[in-house]
Amino acid sequence: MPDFKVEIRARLAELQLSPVREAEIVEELSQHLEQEYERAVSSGASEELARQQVLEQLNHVERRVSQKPVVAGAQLKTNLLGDLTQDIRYALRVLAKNPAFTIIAVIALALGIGANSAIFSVVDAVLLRPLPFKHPEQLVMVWENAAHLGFPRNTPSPANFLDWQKASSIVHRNGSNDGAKLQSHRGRRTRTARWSSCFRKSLRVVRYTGSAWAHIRAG
Amino acid sequence: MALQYMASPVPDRELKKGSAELMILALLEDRARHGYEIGQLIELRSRGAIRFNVASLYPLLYRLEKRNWIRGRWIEKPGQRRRRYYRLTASGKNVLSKQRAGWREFVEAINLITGIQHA
Repeated sequence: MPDFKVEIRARLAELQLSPVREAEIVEELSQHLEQEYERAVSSGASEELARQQVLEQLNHVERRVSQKPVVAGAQLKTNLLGDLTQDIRYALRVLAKNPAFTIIAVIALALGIGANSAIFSVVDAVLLRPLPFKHPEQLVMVWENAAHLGFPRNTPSPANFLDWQKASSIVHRNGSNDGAKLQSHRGRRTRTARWSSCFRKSLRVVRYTGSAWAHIRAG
Repeated sequence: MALQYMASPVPDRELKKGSAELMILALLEDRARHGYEIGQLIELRSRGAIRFNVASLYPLLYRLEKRNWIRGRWIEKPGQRRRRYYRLTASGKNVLSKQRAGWREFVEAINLITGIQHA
């Protein structure tokens, strides 16, 4: 009688079963194979042929023994969630064991997030968000060339601006701002500006006090 | 697949998988049996049409045992070496009852559709 236990053990080795469990399976399967072998021999098969036929039955036995019952849809879900939970727990344990590393990681993350937020805020305000005017694409800054005075890009005077405004047939509405200044008013430092009558309409700027210089001139 | 059909066209794999459990549970209904005996009975009662090999039968028995539908126990009888006998548990009896009813309904439905009649 061939010893089938060796063959069975070899096939079950990769399953890493407990010694007791493996011994039970080996004993049970070898008994079955021995009876199959005896039956084949008594049916007229040679010993070698009977042995081969019996051993053929062991094909993929290790795969089938390790096979778990299949529940449709449940297996994959359980594994995915199980792996995720395991990963999170492992990460928390590692962080708790290394507080210095955790603090450095948190600070690095905070700085990274803060820097990204700041850059995005600037990009949003300067490049992405449209200016709060009706036709921001038509807004231009007009400069006066006063190179002979040492100012190649000079803010035009109110009188020059009014002359340009009269002569212009391209610009639909123009306005002028003569720059903002800090002035002392009744003992208080106040930010003031000079602008033409159209300036406020163009830019929708709310005037706190005073009047447009074009009106003063007209008056 | 767990079964080898020696004659006639091979039925659907899922059908065979479901029926294999039912066959084993049904054979253990009357009394406890060992694995070789279960395999022999299936082959005998199916007139050789259905045959289990070792790699099919025992993994299935272990799965049924894991589900607590059957329970295996080593028994040593006088003059014989010890063998592992499987018997049906209470849970297994319930499953067998349900599977039987389900299978009967399924076969009747198939008969109605295909027009197959008993001889």
